[in-house]
Amino acid sequence: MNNRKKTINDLLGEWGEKQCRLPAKNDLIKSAVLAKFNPSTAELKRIKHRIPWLSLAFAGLAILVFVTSSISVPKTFAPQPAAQNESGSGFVAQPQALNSFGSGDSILKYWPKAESPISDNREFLKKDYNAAVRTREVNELTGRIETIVRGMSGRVDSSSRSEKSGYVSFAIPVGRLESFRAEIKSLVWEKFYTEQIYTQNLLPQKQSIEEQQKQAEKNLSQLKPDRDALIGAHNRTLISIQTQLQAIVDQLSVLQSATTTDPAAQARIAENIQELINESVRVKTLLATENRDYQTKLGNLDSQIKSAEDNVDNVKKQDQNLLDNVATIQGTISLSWISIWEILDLYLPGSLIGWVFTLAAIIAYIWNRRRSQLII
Amino acid sequence: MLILKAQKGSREALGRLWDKITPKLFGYLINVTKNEALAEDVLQNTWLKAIEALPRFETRGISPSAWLFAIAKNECREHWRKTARETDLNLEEHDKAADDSLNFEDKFLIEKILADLSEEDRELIRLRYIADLPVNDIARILNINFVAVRVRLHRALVRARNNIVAKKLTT
Repeated sequence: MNNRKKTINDLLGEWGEKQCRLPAKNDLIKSAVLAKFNPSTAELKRIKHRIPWLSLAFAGLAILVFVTSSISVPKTFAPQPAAQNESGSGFVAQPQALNSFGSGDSILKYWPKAESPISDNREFLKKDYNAAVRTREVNELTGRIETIVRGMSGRVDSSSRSEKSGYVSFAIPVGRLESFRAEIKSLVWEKFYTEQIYTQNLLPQKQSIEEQQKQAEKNLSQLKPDRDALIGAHNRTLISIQTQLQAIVDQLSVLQSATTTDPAAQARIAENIQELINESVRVKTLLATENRDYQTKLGNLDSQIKSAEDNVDNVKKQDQNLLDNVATIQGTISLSWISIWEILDLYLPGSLIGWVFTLAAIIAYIWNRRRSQLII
Repeated sequence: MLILKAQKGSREALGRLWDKITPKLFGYLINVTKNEALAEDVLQNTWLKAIEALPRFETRGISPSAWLFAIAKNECREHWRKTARETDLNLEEHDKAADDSLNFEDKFLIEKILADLSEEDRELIRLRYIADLPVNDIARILNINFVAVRVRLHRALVRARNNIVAKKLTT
């Protein structure tokens, strides 16, 4: 009855104890064994340890690799700004200098480099965004990036994709940049993503446009009074000439209506009439000249005013372009496939080969220790 | 520590180590070989190998008992490799030398337990209950993870208990 309360552990424990016993020829075997024991060599041999040569070799290699890699170029991957392919077959990723990427060039390079005084602290920040993404699913990720761009009210300017590499060039509103970055970052692990955001204040360009605008408006404001003055002067001249002509006409009609039989008087009247006719011709010629000059001058002024107005419009358009450009982020994302080896290399500090050697050294040491403890 | 004294050349310490470990070691060898003469040979060889390797023994992380059981296990393996055969478990032969003080019902149960287990499980039970080794030492001897030893031991006991229950129900 009592046995039924025993657990399997108790039973086996009891059984194990009962199994223990000395051999029948215990004393004989014991004395034979002890006879083989040599106290003097035991102590001498004790100091001889098994030196873990393999472990030391691997450790040495690891140190060598770490030292070598520490003096070489650190491992990074950088985004590659985009440039249009000259053959016209689309966009290709190619390295460029930091300050010359993206379509920001289109507006930046036409202005001379100018320095603005600090009294004007306005900012017209033009941003260009470039990122490099490492992934094992290039095709899928390229498609997702295009979807994200469109979801941010942006547009895809160009894209290419293959099994090993992908590329997307796009434009998005400046206000969506932060949420766009967050979405792109969420696609891959932190180590697989690098970005480069280039920001430049377009204040010198803005100031230049404002200066041009001011000058154009000033020109326009000067030309309009000139035109008014010309018209006024012309009108006055016309009135004067017409008054003269009217006087001549009046005098002519008086002379022509005069009736006399005196030949001398008639001759004088005829002479006066002829003089008035001549005067009339001269005044009419003067009038024609005035009108011609007026039309020429007015035409010139109108042309200048038109030109000035066009200039003002152009400058306004440039101003709007600059503001639109500031409000637009031009960006590129290049994607490249990453191998497991490269993933390990990214996450482990120092050289991966060094880590492999370190691991091998540890394994070799453990193996050596176990061997020295157990294997006889 | 007896082993350290023996390493320093104390014959007396080695003798005391013999007295302490040999009952368990011999019990283990009898259980493995099922042959008393063979068990004695293996026991002697084990101790001779141990004496030879004694200067190189390091106490870090392993007990002298575990070390001797590892040597004994290697010796058994070496013996079977040479003779190219393994003896099947013969329960009558197996428990012939066991103490009769274990009552009949318990003895019957143990026989059934051992018979129904695999050789790997029997080895675990020998090392745990005859050699009385802790799980860490068993893991070292069998060259497996100590968690695996725990799990396998637990499963072996569960299987054994289930077998007992099943047998009791059928009788």
